[in-house]
Amino acid sequence: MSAPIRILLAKMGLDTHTIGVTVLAKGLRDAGFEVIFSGFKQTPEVVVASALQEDVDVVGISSLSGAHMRYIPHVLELMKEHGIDDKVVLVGGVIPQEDIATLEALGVDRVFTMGAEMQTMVDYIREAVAKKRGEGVVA
Amino acid sequence: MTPQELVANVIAQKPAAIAKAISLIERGEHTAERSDTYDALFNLLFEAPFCSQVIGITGPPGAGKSTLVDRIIEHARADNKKVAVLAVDPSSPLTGGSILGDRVRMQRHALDSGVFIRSLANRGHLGGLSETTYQCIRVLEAAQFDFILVESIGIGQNEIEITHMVDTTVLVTIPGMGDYVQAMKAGVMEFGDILVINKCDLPGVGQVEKLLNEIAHDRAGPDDWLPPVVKITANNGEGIEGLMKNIHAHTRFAPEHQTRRSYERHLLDAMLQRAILKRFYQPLVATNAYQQLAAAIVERKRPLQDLWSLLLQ
Repeated sequence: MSAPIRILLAKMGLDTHTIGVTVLAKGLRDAGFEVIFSGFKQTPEVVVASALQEDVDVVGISSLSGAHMRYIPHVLELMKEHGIDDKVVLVGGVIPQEDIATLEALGVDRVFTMGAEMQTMVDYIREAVAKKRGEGVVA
Repeated sequence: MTPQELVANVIAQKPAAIAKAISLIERGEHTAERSDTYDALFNLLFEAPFCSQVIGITGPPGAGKSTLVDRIIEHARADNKKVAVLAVDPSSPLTGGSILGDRVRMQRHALDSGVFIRSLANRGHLGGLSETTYQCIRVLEAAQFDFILVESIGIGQNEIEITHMVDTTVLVTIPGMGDYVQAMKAGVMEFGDILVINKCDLPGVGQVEKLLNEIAHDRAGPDDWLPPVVKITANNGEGIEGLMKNIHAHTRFAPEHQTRRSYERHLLDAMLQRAILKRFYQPLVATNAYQQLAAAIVERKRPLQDLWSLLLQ
């Protein structure tokens, strides 16, 4: 049996739209994942330190405030700096189409926007983590 | 990274190595073939010296355990002591999933290089902790943290496992839990070294205090530790100074990690039992000689005595 998938959920800056990430946390828990909350209104530094200490498989960043291009590249840089850029990085929320390609080029594995189904995200995470861990799909 | 490098990096207090080591320990129980790395880490369990004060924080859900841990970190850091936290939350018995939320209350310490915080899911283990919590404690002790704070899941009446694997157990209750405290008289209340009433800004402190004092005095013999009843409000930091004094007093009263030494003895016995099962029992049960004999004994065709003869061959 594989170890459960660990995922850190993060919100940065003055983004107060917390419902999406809360619903997501419950959905991921019900899929059998270990979901670690890093708190709201955090800085990229705190998010990356948490991801490192918690040794998560996935970092999930929720952003609905429009400040994603301000925070997410900084998170990716810090992850590289700390040698933890091997983790799956997901972004969800309100992300304009033209920013998605930029974020993916910078190292985000996948961006989920409004209307993404829970099951789609769960399946994607299982597949992506299995690939990183070098095993079959993690239940 | 070789196993030796990983262990060396844990001892050198590198956060990434400590984080990886805990994951491997957690995952290790699930792998049929133990890797060299896992073995090297497991050996740490009985090699690294005792050098940390391990403090358990336990109590019912919503008592304020995580907020109290945050305050203890703050206090220990002001003394320039290094602190590690293991915060355990429950896994769903249905899906195995969990939401680990303790960390949120301690997040202001996330960037302090003298603090390491790790959330653990209990992964179906009963007793208030996860199956490998003690091994995780030992990994952190190998990294020479001055304090290791272990926060249990919100406990019910009888989850006392934590008391065996820490040096000092802090049991947290809140006002208005008089009935709970009554019900706990034969249970967790028999084990807390320090009895804390948190949220003392709420009404009903006197009633819980009276009950806890009764329990403490019932428990203590003439040379025993008399568990102090400490009133705090973790939210605003009131009473933390007094709690820390009591924690240090308990360390002086029980200085040699005796509780943990007994627990390790118990762990060794259990490991030996598993090893014997694997080395002797499993191969024997798999033999034809045993299978045929066992069937024959049940059919009353051969006497039980033959089983003992087989065992001695």
